[in-house]
Amino acid sequence: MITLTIDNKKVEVEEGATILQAAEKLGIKIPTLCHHKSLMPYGACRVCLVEIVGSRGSWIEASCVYPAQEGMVVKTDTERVLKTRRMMFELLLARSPDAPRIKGMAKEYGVEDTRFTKKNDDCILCGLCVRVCEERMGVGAVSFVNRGSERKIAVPYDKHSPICIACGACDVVCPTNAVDLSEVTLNKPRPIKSDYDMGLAKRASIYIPFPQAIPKIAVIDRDRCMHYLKGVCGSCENFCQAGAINYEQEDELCDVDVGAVVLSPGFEQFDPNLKKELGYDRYPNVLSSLQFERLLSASGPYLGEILRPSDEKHPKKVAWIQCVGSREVDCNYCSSVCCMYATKEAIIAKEHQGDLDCTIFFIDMRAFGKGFDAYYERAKQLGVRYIRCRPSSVKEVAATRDLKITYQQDDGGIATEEFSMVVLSTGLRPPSTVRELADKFGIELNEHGFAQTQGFAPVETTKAGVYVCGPFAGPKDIPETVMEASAGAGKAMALLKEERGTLISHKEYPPEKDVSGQEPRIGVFICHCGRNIGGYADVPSIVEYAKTLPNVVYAEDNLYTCSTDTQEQITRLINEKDLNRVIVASCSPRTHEPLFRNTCREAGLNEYLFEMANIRDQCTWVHMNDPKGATHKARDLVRMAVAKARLLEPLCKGTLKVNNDALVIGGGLAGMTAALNLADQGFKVSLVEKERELGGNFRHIHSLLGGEDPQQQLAAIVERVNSHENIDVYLGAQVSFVDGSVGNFNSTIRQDGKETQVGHGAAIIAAGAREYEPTEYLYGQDSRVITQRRLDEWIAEDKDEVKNAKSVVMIQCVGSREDERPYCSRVCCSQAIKNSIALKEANPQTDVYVLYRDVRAYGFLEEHYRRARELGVRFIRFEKDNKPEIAAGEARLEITCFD
Amino acid sequence: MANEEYEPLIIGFCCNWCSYAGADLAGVSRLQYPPNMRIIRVMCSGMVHPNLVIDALTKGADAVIICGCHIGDCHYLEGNLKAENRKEAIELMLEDFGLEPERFRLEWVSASEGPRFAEVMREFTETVRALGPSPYKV
Amino acid sequence: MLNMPICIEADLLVLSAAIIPNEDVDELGRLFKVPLNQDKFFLEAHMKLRPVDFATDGVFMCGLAHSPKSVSESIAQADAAAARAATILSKDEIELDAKISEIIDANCDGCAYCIDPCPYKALTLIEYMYKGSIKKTVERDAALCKGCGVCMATCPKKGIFVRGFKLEQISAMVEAALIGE
Repeated sequence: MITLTIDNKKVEVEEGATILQAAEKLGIKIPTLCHHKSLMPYGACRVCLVEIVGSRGSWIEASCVYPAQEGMVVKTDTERVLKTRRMMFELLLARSPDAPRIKGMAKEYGVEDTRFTKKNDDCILCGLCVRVCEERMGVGAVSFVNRGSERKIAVPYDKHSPICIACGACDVVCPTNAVDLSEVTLNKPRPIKSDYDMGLAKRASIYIPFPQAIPKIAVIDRDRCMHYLKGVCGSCENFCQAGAINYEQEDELCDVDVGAVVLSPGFEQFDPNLKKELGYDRYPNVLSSLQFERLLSASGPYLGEILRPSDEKHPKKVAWIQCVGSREVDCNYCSSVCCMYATKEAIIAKEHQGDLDCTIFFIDMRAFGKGFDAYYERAKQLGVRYIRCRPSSVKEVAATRDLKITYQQDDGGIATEEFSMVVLSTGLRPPSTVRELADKFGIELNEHGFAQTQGFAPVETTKAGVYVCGPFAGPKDIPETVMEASAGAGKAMALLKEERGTLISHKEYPPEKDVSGQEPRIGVFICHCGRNIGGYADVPSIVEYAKTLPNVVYAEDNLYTCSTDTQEQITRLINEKDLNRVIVASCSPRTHEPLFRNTCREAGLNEYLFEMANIRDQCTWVHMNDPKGATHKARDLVRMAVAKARLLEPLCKGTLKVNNDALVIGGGLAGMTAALNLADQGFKVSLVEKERELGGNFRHIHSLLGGEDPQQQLAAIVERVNSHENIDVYLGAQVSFVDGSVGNFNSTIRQDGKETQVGHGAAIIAAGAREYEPTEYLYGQDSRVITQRRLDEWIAEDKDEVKNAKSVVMIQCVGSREDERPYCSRVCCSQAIKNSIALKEANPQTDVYVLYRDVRAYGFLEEHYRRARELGVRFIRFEKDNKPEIAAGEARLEITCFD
Repeated sequence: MANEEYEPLIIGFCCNWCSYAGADLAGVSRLQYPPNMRIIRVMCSGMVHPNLVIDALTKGADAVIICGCHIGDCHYLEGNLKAENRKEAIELMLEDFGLEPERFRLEWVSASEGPRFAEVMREFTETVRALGPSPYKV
Repeated sequence: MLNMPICIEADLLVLSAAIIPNEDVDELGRLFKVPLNQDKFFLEAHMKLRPVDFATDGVFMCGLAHSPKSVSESIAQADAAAARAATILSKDEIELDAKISEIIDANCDGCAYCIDPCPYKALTLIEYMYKGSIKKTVERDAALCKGCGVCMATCPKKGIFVRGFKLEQISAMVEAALIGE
């Protein structure tokens, strides 16, 4: 080993190391241009010059090639070094005055311009391209030719190289973007498209799959990596400081013993290439919805700016085409989520670019989820245009690369309109590996290739102990997916209750640091939250401002402060900078405080030495039109957080014994199911039902679209509840008082004037809902007007009123999607479809009409919707402000509507 | 003596369970209101000591608003009732300090009332703007 | 849509009536201190990622009280609520919040203004001998105190505070807001 001194700091390096390597070990930054870690040192650009101090004076050397020697004294920041470097930058600027990288580095040294005559040649003769081609790729397609001022990089004989493999390495290493591959070779380079950016951006053959990947670890694409393909390159091995590159690594097979399996392989996007007529892959400005999602993302190909791929300019008009790969003959289901994601994309696109014209071509607006109709209405208010038509083709206008869509208007007329960009709302398909997975686990798939489940067992597959959740069991949105995920876990827990807790290992935190008596040392982390904060407030200026505040010793900004890698970084910085208070300026402490507190604990810091400034939910999101005001306010909020953080003290938590019993309120289907699950897991449950009988609304359901018998099912569930040793049922009872909190509630149940106290650690509210009693359409005045629930009962009872009816009209959205009740009741469309199929099957001669606003037959309900139409049920649409009118005739009811 | 440059500075104490959540919901719903308010999160409106209000106003805040859960909805049973009980005392103290009663406000905003939160902020900011700067403003 | 009036004669008119919340949901919400949305369905902690949790720990929801849904969806949500509840019930003990009240003996003179307002009856007045005379002060029960801070706002002598929300800490924020840049 050799010991030398750089900038008065001693460092030990191995024999043969260069001064540059020694400096790097000390963390001293020396600028380099021609240096590349995986290539032999070259010493061409001379910007890495340092001063070597000897006994007989000092001299200047290029640190990248000069070997470190025992006892050597090196200076990297003397006036002489800086002067010489400035001169080198002037010379480089003379050669390539426009190269951004050189301009940037020169500026750091205060060099803005050159006094030399400009040559305007991009190439600075650093030789990186020559060396990488020769040393790493083993090809040698390019080389230096001529001497002196005529020296240049060229392909032999100035012809296209016959040996170049178009790997693009020369292009990648060139610091001035001087390489034009088309001058080197006739072989076409094939850029690797990023899967995560849906092909809209390129990636390297070693890459981190996406910014928030867990674990955030690079992977090598063996099908593209030159090392795997040709045994060359290997550069990444030289670069990886952790020494983590191992080209010999093989897949490992692990055996895991488990008692239950939950399958959640997700879904795949419908391949829009199968819709040639919509122009995907033929026209650059036709994108899939997932591609558009990437365009909107701050970590996307254009950093959150909406640009169209053909010319990277802002589009003026964007059209979405719904149901691409859904609701078709060979794909007879609705993908359930596209109506809302298209609406969301349109709203966010308008937030990004206020003047953007957004149009959505749709068949039925299936905004059936909680709060969705309100969101749909908001989109309309914001100016998103909805056109009820399914365009059959998209044509490109060659001159502008705009896209022409021909569609049918409300009045039947044909219109043609041009858009700058078209987004295809592609549907959800089962993953391509599904068959293999199904065979492996011995489960059955349904006709569409999704996992087969039953109506009463939505997360159970056809094989016991194998559960399923998410879109693998059918297209669904995030909340339903998350519910099923917990449900799958709940089912598995009930099955494995004996084994609960046997595999738990407790998380170990480092011992807590004692910060008492220490002056506060505050670290401030300011989040861009993609564009959510950074798009409106000037985050870098807030960082600079934070640095000036009392006791702040460190401040930085993050693209996403909540991402795993930033958490690790914060932990590291707490230790490195000896921080004893941490502030995160980002979203709401209500959602993210626990996460950041945990980060503090990971660094051995008491979690209460943490404070948050809410600069998103309560700042940039509510001051989107006032970036200056938002920035000013964010600075104030950070200053306030700092003021509090200075006074924070470490706190410690007490513990409380948990009562392991549960209280379930509501004895309907949901309440009984929850109670049974908990009871099966071994917990005692008090089930409180206000009526004298279990079953709730479910008592009135007599048939289901899946063909199961609900009343038989109900009887079985009630029997299980009543006989379960872990369940106490309180009928005709209500909870009258609740005391305590999580882990230790104490509730009073009032039943027949008698009060019972029950202790419980958790409570489930399953209080149900009820059918609206209509005031419209002569309901209650004419006995021939009934509700779907009554019809279901009448069909089950085989009533004469049903048997003798020659014509039945159904009206949808009665009491739903109205001003005073703006939500969709979600199940009425399927109820109507179910009952109309039953009527038609019992008597094909009966005329059945369904007057609707949108048929919301989401997911696999679409099949039944189609079947109803095939059976001759007529679906007639009406508008909210043009409702059907009813007249009670002597013999029959007369219904007038508009078609 | 309101001049054109005057931007009111309002201190808001919002309870963690309802109003602070309502303020978050206003953000999630992208409801826009003027950026004049600095929210300080407290656990309950009943936690805000009257001295905090008076101190803020005499040190230059143009107004102070306390937001809590609706009566009957308090996460701590009746903390908001205590806040309401203190309102009168605070108003009397304002009088003693020569401040207009409009510079202090107590409002109930639930976790689901994002639109209401934004509306209260808009309306209160305009009211305070019309009042002009606090006489205690340096 | 040709906007032509059509007249249909029917023997039965079937209305697809809305699903509406039960009348007792307000009362239940009050009892468990959990919120409803504007349509009077229970409001989850997060619309996408926490669809069965309330923001209040230990209380969960499922079925139609959350929003209209099908039989299968109700069952899945019920199993989900049970699984979420089990994450608490399967523990022997849970940690208490550290942000509860604390008495500053030096400031407390035992005036007892704070005792009645405490919604959780977590405070008691105690007397003890100190240097030959009786001194009064207040004692707080850690399991009962929820950290609402009503005591802190009631105390005229800065004798009690909530950890993490000390008067000086809140004052510092107010002052920081007022000093400007």
